[in-house]
Amino acid sequence: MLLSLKDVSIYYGSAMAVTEVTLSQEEGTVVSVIGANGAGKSTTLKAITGLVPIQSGSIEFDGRRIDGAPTDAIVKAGIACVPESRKLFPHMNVLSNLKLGAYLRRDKQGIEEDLEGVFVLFPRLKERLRQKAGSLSGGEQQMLAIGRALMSKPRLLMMDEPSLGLAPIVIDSLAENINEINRRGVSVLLVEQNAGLVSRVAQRCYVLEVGRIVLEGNINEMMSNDSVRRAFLG
Amino acid sequence: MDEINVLQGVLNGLTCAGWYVLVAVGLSLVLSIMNIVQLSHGEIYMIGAYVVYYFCVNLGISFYLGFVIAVLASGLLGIVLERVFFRPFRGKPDQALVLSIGLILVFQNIVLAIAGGTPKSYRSPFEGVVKIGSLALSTERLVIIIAGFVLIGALFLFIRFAKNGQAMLAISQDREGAALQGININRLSAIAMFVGCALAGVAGGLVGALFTLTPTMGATVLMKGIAVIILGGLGSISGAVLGGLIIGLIDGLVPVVTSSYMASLIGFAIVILILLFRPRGLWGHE
Repeated sequence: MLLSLKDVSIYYGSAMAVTEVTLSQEEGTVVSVIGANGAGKSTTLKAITGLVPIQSGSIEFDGRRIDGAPTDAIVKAGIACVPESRKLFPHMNVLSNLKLGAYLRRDKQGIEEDLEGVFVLFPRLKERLRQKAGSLSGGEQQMLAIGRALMSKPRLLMMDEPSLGLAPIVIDSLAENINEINRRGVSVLLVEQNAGLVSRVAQRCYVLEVGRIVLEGNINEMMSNDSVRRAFLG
Repeated sequence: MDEINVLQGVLNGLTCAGWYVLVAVGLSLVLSIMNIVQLSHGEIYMIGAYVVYYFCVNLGISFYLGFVIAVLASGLLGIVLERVFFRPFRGKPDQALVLSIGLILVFQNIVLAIAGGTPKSYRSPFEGVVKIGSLALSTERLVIIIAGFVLIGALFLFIRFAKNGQAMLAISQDREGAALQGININRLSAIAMFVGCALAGVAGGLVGALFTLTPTMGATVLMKGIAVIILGGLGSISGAVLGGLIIGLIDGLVPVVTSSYMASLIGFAIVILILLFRPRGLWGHE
């Protein structure tokens, strides 16, 4: 298993946000976590990146425990994250944002190659190279957030509701982008509420409801299930 | 008021600017990286001056050695402050602010206990006067101008081109986004505190030779520093330079026309006026 969460519980303040979540992902796959707002999806991702501590349980990446490790060590291990509000550096230009994605890397040649790889995926970013990130359109900002995450050369790319606020036509190309990233050998953990996007990219799916996994399985079986529908519609 | 006096006022103003900028940039750096208004920054400046005094006068060793030690000691004190006091209060700016007020009292009284309350003075080795036409500027003031602008220039280059400089900029724009790129916020906070406090030490060591030293000498420079970064735009290094130049020149030029007492009054009045029309400061974002 590339990523495996066992009985992970997380408190947010005094409230239990996530209760005994168990989840696993094989290398090379796209796995999706779906659920309504407040179900604990973002909190789970924050715990994997080490931004939020877990109360109990364990998180393993590539067979090694990563819970309790600092975020920089987790990024170095090969996990990159596209956070929900993108968290770009708004007053820096596109190129500087991308280069900061490679902050922990020292292989100059590899960084150049991956930069080209990002431009193949998102030619628009190459046109906007010197533009400030904050002045990009919503779709372009999403491209930049994904591109920046790819610059760390991750084995696992986690995305938190990347479709949020995007027009349907932009979501179409987002689905293609995710499939292309996956074809390049990067595993993707996708947190979403958009059923259309999930059904086009994911192979497996977990349903999170008020902090608990209530259902898991193959994507095709899931899409006809009642609680899945409930999760999507909130 | 003739031309010579005005030019002389500009030179004096540039001296003030170099002095203020060295202090203000540290305040600005700490504010943008750690999100803390570090009110005891003026005390770092004061300690820098006292360390030079100690080595120069008490021990009778050279000014240069004392100066180097003062700068390093100020920087290291910054690292200790970050690790022991400010890190536990990260994300709690109000508590950190009150803490830094407490540190003002702690530092002033430690120095008072060790060095006593009588004003001290030492002389820098930069003697003599540089003459440009009929203008005169003492060498020690010229050194402050040069040190101020060279060091801030170096800081600019560091932020623009060094990986960790870019990382600092990233933290100031989005802390969580920076952490997700693998940027170690603790490490960069320590670097920011070292650089900011070392620059305050440089200012203290150089300016200390111009005036007398007292344990409360940090208060004036803190007020100037805060005015400078508010005027320039909070958290912006370029803003701190611009703000420092404006307030420095006001302090240099106003005494030419009226008295030096009026300089601070007029200076702060201009700051308030500018902020009324541009609340984010001259160079601030949003």
